[in-house]
Amino acid sequence: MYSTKFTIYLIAVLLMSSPVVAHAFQGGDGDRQSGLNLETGYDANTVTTMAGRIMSVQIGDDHRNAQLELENNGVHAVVVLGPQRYWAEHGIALKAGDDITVRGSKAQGKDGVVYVLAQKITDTSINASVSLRNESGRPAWAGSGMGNGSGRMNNRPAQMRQSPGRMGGGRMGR
Amino acid sequence: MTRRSIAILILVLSVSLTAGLSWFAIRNYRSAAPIADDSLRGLALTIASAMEGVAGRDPSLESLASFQAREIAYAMLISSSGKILFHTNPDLTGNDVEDSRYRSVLTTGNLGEARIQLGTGEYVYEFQAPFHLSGKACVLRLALHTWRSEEVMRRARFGITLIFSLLALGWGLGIAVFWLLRRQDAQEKLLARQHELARLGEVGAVLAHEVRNPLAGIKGYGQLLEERLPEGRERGYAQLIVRESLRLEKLADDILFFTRTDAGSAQACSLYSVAGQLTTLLTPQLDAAGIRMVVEVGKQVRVNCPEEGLQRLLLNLLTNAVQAMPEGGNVTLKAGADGNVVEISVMDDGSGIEAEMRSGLFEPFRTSKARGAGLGLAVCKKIVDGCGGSITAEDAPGGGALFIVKLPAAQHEGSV
Repeated sequence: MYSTKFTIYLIAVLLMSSPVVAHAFQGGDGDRQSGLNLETGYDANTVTTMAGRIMSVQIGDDHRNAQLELENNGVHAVVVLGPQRYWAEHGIALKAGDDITVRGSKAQGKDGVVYVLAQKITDTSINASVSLRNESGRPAWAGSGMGNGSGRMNNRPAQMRQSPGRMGGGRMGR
Repeated sequence: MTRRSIAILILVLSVSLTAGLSWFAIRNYRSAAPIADDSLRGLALTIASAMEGVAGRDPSLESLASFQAREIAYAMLISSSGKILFHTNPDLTGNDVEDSRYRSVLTTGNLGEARIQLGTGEYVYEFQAPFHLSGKACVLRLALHTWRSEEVMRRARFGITLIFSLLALGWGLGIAVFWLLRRQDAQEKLLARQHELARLGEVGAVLAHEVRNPLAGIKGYGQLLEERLPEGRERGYAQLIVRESLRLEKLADDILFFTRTDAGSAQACSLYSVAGQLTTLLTPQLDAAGIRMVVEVGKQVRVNCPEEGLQRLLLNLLTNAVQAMPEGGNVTLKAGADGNVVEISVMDDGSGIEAEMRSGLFEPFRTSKARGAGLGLAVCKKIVDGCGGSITAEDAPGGGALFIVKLPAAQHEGSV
């Protein structure tokens, strides 16, 4: 009896300590999944305008931003609307099936999903629009005292994992 | 092939398999990063070439705005003066570029590669290359999403994680199985020993009824003859009969004690009193053998052990010491309390413990003596174990043997 219990316990510990199985049992919040700074992140270099149809709207909660899924010619993107409380107070009524135009900073998360950190949304179905960020990308919910790099153009080089290049001695990171 | 050989073979195979799989996983993982980077570089060069073609056909750069590729995070064309001639975000076209990373490409004509983090938090691959626009030297800066090209990295990461997880799991299960087998082996040995002792117990019972009773008669008549026969050879025979009967009686007694399954109740007993009794009992024997016995036991020393067992324990150890010194010598019995434990030591300056006898010294029927059943120390071990103590043997500092017994201390008489 004792040895059976011990064996089961040992196998359970080994299984749960295994990174593969542990990963399968663990969830993660949105930011951890995407690796992006969804709430205050913005980059003027990647600003684009997208038009499409809303597939779904997620109003979010205290820990997740409000966001919607946009589709255009088979291309899907997640449009981040900002904190749920801010969107509830200042947002416009959006629902699945509405045609909208979004201007914002586009990024691809490490989960492979394309995110658009919305600056302005226009619902062409009802001809309503809302601005969530100013032209430089500062979020409306960030307040006047926060200047955390919104709209940044001067990107930071990160570590490059290669040795110096073999194609004309090009610079390989710093 | 013995069990041990099979176990060693399995272990060697497991270690080899682990080493092989680890090497394969690490090599695969390490080769993935250069592959991903090569893929990105190749893509960047293709895009740059295509853009140069478009720009060559339309120097106004308006056609570049329609150039699209899913992997491009952004693209810009920078003039030698640092002005942005084209940007995928049209609002930025005409602005000055805010950094000087393009300069080294412009001056050296080499390619530039780096991983940079965008304001969105995304890490992208930045590629900079000289760009020829109507005879003017420019720099094309491309920022590419890395997610697709790094699929190979994700697969390699998953592969190495999976392999090491499975190896860890395999080793864990192997160790668990090994532990269970050893445990089962130990239990089987214990069971076999219990069976052995049970059979020995049956023999002991036979000895008790079939040997001990007639032996008492033989011994009695021998003693009678010893008393009545006049001094001479016949009396010597009678003395021999008595001596050997006593030896047989002791042997039967030891076997009975060793095979007895009922444990005596652990009652407090005075070590000082037992040592005194033994000194009286052994004095004639010690004097005859020319052995000096020193007893250093405090009056207050009491142990939690049945008196009969303690007496037998010390008697066996002292007899053992006496037998180890046929030419005479010294034997010391010491005892002292240390917290809840009483340490008793019996030390002699005899021949010491033979090397081949050290392992299994307390096993029954192991002896180096010509006359003896090898039960004395086994009985000592049984008594000590029954009292919850321990017994060890080592060489005495000046030669000879030193037996150390640790027994639980009992409260002093009269104390609560």
